[in-house]
Amino acid sequence: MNKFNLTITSPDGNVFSGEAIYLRLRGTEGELAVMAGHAPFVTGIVPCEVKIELESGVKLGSVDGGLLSVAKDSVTLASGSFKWKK
Amino acid sequence: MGADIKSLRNRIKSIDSTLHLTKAMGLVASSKMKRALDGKAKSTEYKQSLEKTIRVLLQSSDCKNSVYFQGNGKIATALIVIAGDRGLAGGYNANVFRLEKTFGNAVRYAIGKRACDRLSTPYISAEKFSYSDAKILADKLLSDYQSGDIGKVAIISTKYNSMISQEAVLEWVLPFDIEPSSDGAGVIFEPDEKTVLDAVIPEYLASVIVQKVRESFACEIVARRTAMDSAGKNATQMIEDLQLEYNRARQGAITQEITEIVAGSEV
Repeated sequence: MNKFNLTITSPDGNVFSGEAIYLRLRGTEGELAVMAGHAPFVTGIVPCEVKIELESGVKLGSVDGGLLSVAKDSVTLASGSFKWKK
Repeated sequence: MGADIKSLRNRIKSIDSTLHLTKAMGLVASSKMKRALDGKAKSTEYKQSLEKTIRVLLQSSDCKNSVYFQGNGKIATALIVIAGDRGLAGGYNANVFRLEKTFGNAVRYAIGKRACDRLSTPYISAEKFSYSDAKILADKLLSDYQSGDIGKVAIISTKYNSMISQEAVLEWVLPFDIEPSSDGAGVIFEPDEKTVLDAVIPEYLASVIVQKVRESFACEIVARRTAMDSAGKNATQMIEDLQLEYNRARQGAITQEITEIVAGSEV
């Protein structure tokens, strides 16, 4: 499975930084998913659940809003409100 | 002479306990310093990363002409005052309040116990200030801004220059004054620049507030350490001086007693 670098940043430092296989969340245009090799784009995020698939398994989190930037082989999710789901 | 010795001893004792206090507060400040400076650096980095995106967004005229950058024509102002939770930090709080005093009419929002007490607003800690606190404040300010209740937002905080120099500064944040950049051309914004901008602005304003609070807190800790250091030095010096005076008085009393005994035995 192809992987991409995912960074989740917040004002208190990186919440997550590592390789991911799949990322799903809700943008201003609706639900979207990112996998390796996605075309570069930037979009706003609306409050939603975030699903991240890592090699070690699936992790869930939630955000209140923020910004998703997809570059060539790295994805940055900037949100101060990101929280892991227990 | 006896009373003099006693009062000197009491003064030495009281200065000694002050010395312990300043030492303890200095140590606490030292231990918090790394974390505070770290928090400042991280929040600055986050703010800058959002700012970078906004710079690219500003290439679009839709964004450039938006109310966030052009103003809404109102003059009512909101002022965020950031001070510390505690005193004993040199001129840290006083400098902030001096600047606040020169500011005219404004709806004031206080962060930090000292500022909250002074402006009689509900207590918000500067040390434990979280991103969600900032978001609540940012959302409130933006909704007031959009409804036209306020037209400007300013922040009074403390700027960190170096370990020995911090200054209280006033900064206007809304309407934002951000220069468009020429980098990042060709980035695709989904669905369009304006929608992305509307989503980013609340996040950005919150990150600006968090950054200012973290920076001010770092300044408070650094200022407290410096203040406690010099207070400790002064206390040590005072104890040395008083100890000398005390020894002299004690020796004087002993000499006098001996003189009295000798004078008595000669009779």
